[in-house]
Amino acid sequence: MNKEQYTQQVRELSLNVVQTRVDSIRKKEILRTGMRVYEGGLIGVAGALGRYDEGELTQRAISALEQEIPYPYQLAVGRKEVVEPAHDLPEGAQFVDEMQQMLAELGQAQPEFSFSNKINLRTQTVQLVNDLGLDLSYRGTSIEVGLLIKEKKSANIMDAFAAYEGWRYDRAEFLRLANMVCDAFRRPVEIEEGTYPVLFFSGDGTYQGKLAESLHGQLYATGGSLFAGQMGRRLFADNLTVYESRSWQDSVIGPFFDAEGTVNDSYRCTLIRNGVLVAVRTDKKNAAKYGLPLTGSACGEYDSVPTLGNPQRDLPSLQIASTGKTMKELLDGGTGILVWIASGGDFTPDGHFATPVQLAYLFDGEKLLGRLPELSVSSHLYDMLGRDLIGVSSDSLTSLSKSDVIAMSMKVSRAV
Amino acid sequence: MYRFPAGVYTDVRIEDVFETQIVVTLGEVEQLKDKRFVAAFVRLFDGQRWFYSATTDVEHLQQEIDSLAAMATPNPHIDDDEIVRKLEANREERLIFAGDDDVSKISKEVKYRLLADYFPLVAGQDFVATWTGNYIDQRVVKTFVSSKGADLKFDYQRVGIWIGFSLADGEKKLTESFNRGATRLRDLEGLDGEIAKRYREAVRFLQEAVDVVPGAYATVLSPLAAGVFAHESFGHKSESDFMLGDEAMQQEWQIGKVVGSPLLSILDDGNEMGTGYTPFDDEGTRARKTCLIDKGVLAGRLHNGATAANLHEPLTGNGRAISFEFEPIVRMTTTYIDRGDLKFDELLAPIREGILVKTIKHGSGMSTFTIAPSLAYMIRDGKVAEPVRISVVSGNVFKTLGEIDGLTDEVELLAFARGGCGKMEQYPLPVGFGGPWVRIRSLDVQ
Repeated sequence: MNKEQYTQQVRELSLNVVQTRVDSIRKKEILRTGMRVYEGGLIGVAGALGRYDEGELTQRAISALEQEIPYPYQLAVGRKEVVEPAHDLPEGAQFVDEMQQMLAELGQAQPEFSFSNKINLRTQTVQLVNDLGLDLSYRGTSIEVGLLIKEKKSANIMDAFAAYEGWRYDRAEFLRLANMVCDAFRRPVEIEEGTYPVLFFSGDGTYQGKLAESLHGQLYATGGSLFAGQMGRRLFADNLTVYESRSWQDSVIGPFFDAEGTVNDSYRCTLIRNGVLVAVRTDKKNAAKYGLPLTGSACGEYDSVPTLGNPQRDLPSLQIASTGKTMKELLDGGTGILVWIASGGDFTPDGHFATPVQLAYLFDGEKLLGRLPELSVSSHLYDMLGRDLIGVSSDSLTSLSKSDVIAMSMKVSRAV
Repeated sequence: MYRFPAGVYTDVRIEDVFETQIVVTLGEVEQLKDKRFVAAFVRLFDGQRWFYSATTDVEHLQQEIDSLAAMATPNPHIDDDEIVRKLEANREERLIFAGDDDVSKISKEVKYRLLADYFPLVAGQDFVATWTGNYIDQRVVKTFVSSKGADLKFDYQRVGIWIGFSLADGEKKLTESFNRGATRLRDLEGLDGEIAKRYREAVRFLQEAVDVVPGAYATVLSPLAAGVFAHESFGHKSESDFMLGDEAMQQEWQIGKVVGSPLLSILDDGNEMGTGYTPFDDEGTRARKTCLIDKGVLAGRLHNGATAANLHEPLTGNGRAISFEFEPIVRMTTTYIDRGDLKFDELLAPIREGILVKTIKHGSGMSTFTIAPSLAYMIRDGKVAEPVRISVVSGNVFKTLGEIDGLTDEVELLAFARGGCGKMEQYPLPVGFGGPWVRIRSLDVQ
């Protein structure tokens, strides 16, 4: 019998912001422990929230073997690694004071707007240890600033947002970002309907959803994926490379290993290289069952059997590699439409895409030139990432976290 | 009992949670687990600021209270604070799922068998590439005490099954599911006919659906789509926390304002049995039935203690948190459109060319609301016609509320196994929703 322990610990200080001031302070400390035992090709798992007795937890995991859930796969062995991304974040009372000062400055700079929602400081520790010498440990302290912006005279619940999640905090840089969003919001601009360079932040799930679903290994292998049978074939533009990342350098907040302890080189695994489908996402079960390469994509709650998860719900951190040009260079001296809020759109089963764009800015690659009216954008997955792909930027909108953009030529119409 | 510090308001919510999860994919068991845990959320208010703590260390809640008190500024007049005065101090025990229906007393094997009996309806069927069966349940017993004298013990329970399947026929693909929530396990029995019907309908869609011609269409929403429409388009705008300290919004949202068609009434009621059942909210307030829109006129809104005090309106029992990890914020319970007076055929009859949205993937609502349909059909000459693939249906919220021109005469309230309502960091919150079949003059379809 082998034994493995999966631990997740979260310490959080959360500030709730109402009308540009801190309205409440929440502290949280949660420990979740999963105990896994493996015997005879089976897995048993038991979990505990908060304090626990290790003997009792192990015994419950052993009892869970009676459920006969198969797990005839080689456990991760022998790797010891600790990743603790550096951060420059204030903590405790200093954090509260700093955010209050930042909000005060923002309120003074933008008297026509109010700001609300959450600012979180979170330390997350995740460990996976087993009796075969595996000892993986991640500890990261990150900040999540998610300020909703409302024009005071507006009848909307929110009009824009200024947000990021990362390891760095710089008051001046965040204020530059928030002021840029507000200042451009006050400048309405118009465009004719037509085809334009449309820029999404590259990590935006709005356009990534179908891509992520179609890269699900089990869906692929059973024929349900849009990409079924296309392994090794060129599906997209020559300069499109997509990889699943667990790297803090990609601003991924979380462990560098998957729920089975698989660690990829540089914490990344390429799925589409230069437009060619080279891999689909797998855990150990689906890699073995369908003869696919293991990509380290297992997920699951602390007390779950690790699995590949659901194709539509358990979405990975997909990163699109830069195609080498800056945002300015991608627009080639012209302007594009930077999508700021696009909520509610989706793909049809065959890959057609359409979404309302509730907030977009006219963008020259450096500055937000003005706020566009509500729009609709549409295309097809193969066109967006194929012939109509302009590129993925090498630079970001803010230095606080990775915020590169993907530019695609898309049909743009006014919202009805 | 706790020593509540002087000069502040304090409440303690303890959640005793039992949960089961079963996942079977392509006939192989992936998860078969249940668990029980107890955890707590402590709130403290000094009249200026709230202080919260979420903890799994329920043996030392007095320490949590004391540590929050150390952050606060004692206020000798805290009892006169408008929010504190507003909060209720109910004292009651209401455990309605403690008998034979208590899911914590039913074995995993019984639950697995109930789920597995449905597998043959999709496993091995034509065009099924992959399938997954899920069973979930949760029973929560909450105790709530406050420095104002509240002393509550109540429960709620949720059960559900979700059967998802991906279909493939050459290049044609479709992912569809059957999703049913309830409050008692026995409510999940006898669903064979509905699941088989959903599979057959999905196969027809796979084989016959064509791309919609984008444009503006008269649109009929199923009770599911109508419920999501009510929730997204207006329900969230009824959550009055967005009005706190905002004079423009308070002017804009005055009670009595015409906000929709005279056919339209929308209600929220935490007493409705289902996944939105909330007999007491997470501030200890008793559930109410709140009319949000009455025949097109703004009639009410949803509150927690802070918003009710700020806007000088009654409490509604809508201060809800998704779990012990979060503070209660203003949320919906069971929100639905009230019925009209048409039969289904009468609703469709005047439509020469339109769209019927039957099932959906998701919806959203800001100034524009959206619905991403899964199964949808053309309506031609008042009849349901060919299936159509649609990315998104959207419309301006207020224009659309005014363009509702027909409702059927029966309301269907729905509950789901998975998913729920998301608001900022708190997702998913179990809610109920529904309505009749709803006809809208024109929506943008892409």
